[in-house]
Amino acid sequence: MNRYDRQLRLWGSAGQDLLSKAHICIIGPENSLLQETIKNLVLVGISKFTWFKSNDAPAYSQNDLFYKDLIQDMVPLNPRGVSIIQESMFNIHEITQNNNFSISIVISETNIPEELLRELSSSELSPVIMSHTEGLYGYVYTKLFEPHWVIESRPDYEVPSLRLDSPWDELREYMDTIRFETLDEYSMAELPYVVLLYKVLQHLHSSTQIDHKMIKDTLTNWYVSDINPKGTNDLNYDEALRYAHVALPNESYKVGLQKLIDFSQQDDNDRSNQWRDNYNRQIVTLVHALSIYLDSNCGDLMVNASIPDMESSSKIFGELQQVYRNKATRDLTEFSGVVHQLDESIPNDLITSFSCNVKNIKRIEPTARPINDFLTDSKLTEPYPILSTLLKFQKHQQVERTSDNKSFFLYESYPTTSFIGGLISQEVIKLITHQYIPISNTLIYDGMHNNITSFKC
Amino acid sequence: MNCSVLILGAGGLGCEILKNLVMCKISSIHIIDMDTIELTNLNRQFLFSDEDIGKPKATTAIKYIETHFPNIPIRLIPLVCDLTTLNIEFYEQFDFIISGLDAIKPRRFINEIIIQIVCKSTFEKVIPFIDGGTEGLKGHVKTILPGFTACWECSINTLPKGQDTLPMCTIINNPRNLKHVIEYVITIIYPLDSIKWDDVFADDKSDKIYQNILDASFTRAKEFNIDTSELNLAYVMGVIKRIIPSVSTMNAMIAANTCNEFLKIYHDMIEITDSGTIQANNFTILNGAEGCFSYSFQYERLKNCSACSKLYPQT
Amino acid sequence: MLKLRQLQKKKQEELANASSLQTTNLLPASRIRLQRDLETLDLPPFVDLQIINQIDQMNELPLIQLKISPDENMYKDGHFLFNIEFGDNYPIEAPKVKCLNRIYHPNINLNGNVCLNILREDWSPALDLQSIVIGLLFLFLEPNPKDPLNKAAAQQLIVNKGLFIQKVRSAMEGGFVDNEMFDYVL
Repeated sequence: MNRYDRQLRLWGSAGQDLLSKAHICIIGPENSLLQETIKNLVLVGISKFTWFKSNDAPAYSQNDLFYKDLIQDMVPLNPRGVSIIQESMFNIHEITQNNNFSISIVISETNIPEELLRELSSSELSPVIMSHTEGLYGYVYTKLFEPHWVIESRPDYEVPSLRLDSPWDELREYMDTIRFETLDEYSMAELPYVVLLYKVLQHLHSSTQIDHKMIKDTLTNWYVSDINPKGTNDLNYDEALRYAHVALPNESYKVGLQKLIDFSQQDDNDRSNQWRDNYNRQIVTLVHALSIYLDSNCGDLMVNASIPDMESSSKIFGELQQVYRNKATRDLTEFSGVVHQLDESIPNDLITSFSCNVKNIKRIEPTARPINDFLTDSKLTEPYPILSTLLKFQKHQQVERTSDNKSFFLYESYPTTSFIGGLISQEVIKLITHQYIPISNTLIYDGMHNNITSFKC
Repeated sequence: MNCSVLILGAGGLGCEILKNLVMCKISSIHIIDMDTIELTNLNRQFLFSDEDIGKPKATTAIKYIETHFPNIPIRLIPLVCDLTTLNIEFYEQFDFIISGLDAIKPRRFINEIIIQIVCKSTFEKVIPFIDGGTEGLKGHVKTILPGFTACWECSINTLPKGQDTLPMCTIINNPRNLKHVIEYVITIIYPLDSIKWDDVFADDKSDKIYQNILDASFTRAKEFNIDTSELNLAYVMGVIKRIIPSVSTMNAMIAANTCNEFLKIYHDMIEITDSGTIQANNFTILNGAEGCFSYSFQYERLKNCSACSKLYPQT
Repeated sequence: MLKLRQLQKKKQEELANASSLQTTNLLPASRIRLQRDLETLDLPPFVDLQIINQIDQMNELPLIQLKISPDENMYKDGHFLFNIEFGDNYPIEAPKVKCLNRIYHPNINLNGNVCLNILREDWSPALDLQSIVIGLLFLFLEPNPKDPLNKAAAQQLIVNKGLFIQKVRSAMEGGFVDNEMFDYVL
């Protein structure tokens, strides 16, 4: 068994590989928030950190820290070794001059020179995460300097695309070998529901506008009434009714996908090889290849090799699965050809993963506003009082204690710090692996009411 | 903080909860866990390292704290045993119970215990029970004040389906994927119920059993023409042990959330209505897979709950 | 924790007027739920119930035995025994049901495994012992040759119902059917 087995089940070895190569830049004092964040990142397998350490006043007392000797205490948590290089704040310009970091995490800004702050928010850096916690509250802000692309967004559920409405030759031929008139009620009960749906679509062939209700009605009024009167209690008939929407042409993704194709061209023009993140560059190339592929395939996407499990005999399900697998292999070969004409260096695993997830590709826009606007712009401080108070604390500005804000002054704030440390490291993982969807892009945690608010700024 | 807290489980959540409570300087902490440390725990259970593999979790966790915080004025007590074997008198000594368990049975047991304690003492003693759980990038926290809020049993209808949910005829006659194949092997060929796991672990025979299950799965998959490219030991273990993905980040967030719930009750930061009920979002779910989303709400008590309805006698 | 203490006080005052709280034996929640199932059970005729492992017998899982004696259709006059074992996760997970007789039935195989949707894929914590009793009884009134567990029996029922009924009868008499020996259940 692998040490990382429990998380490999979340992001696979490709994600783990990216984590093990990551190099994290940390800017801030040694406080519990940074300790917690680093601990979580070391645990998931990140081993390389460079820490520009500031000594913010008030000095953090050793009593407030869980790790008295962080560097030493991290060693047992990653057997490959952990390197935390500590740098003085005087050398911090290195960040902008020689930026080979995967991500920067900025926890306190007080000791960072003004000009660097400006550079941090304007130059072409890898993502920067800023954060602060106080009492039962905390915020996390992600500054993206370029669009962030995600292939494996891993949604909980997606409508399978089975192309029942636009079958290719092999699928059509296979479906045609199944003929209701030669089957008794027991054999019909063994057919996968997609076969029933396909036959319903064939029956409705002449109709122009097919909708969900028509499919359900045809299942009841044609399939059950005329074809298989004893089939009303069959499991496949139940499933066909439940998944009737699978038969409809699923056009909803097309608008989104077209937008992504347009974005990819725009991103590509804007950045012309200036991508900070090689992964982003590769995905944009893949989206570009996709638009070429779609043009030469009447707009049909690559077929997915796996179909969802459904009630069926093993035999028919296996045959049907093979039809999809064959087509998926052919499509993938053709698509890989297109990709490699644009860029030979894109690895096959990435092409396969892109091809399987093409309907779930996500693009997160770069962050527009600096977080400090929430401190200075009255239009923003009012709707987000918690955030502006947190920013005041972060900048050591005076915050008066009132009856309304007493949970900012709760002495036992360690759990909140730990919560935000967990959240920051989770965002770091998502940004590095390009899996799951990161916050976009500002988040406020209110431990008093168990609330999380997030919004784009 | 002058308070006695019992932590259930010294796993991913338990380690985090223990650390948080130590940092909050709680005066007395008990932690109970019957398991020993395994390699796959180490991606999140940060109080343990490779040399600790095979040692009991509870004592190793406490030892870590004692080593790193010598002379800390906290009473720290580890317990290595099955928590369902302890009696009501044991549980009565605590002010709070915070749970980071991964199984259903002990949670239901504790729920019953705290209800009995309220019954027995006629509301003289009410122990808040805060229950955290994670699954991959998702998690939940339930805060239970027996006699005042919904109890754990009130919400069993909302639980995801447990084991044994594949139709028997699919497993036996119409397997279509690897999961169906493995379920057949562990239901029919090597019925898991009949394997005496304690003996197996004592003799270190478990590798051999998993290998047998894997071999039988290959044979059956071939017989039904099912693709075996993903079939390996890790896959088989995933199905057999119903392995739930787990990562340090979400564990830290959920554990922190349970501790904040504790702090709010302790510091009287909960709202009480005029009619004497608690107005609080007692259930929270957290999902970090798409942005970071949380949903908190007041889960209503089930009027005829088999566990807690006895606390509300009809007047 | 003053607020919580105030609430407790208030409850205590309320309860002083009402009947005091009843303490019961400390049993796991699964067993308390089963106890309630049994209290509300409305046993249909033709079904007998016997508790093999008592609910408060903590060293064993609760075990209930059902005897189903259909009074009509093809399984008429037979007596079929089922063991129902309630695990610690009941009712989150369904109990385990086994047929103790070797019988000729499309939805029950020779090892006693039973294919009934509510015992597996359609189980829900809202179902109870009553639902299982009804479900099992129904299997004998209407054996279902679709989604079979015993394929040969299902095939026989489909192809020639008359012959199927004959085979059911001889199986129930403890005879051989298709080279398999069955239990005497009359």
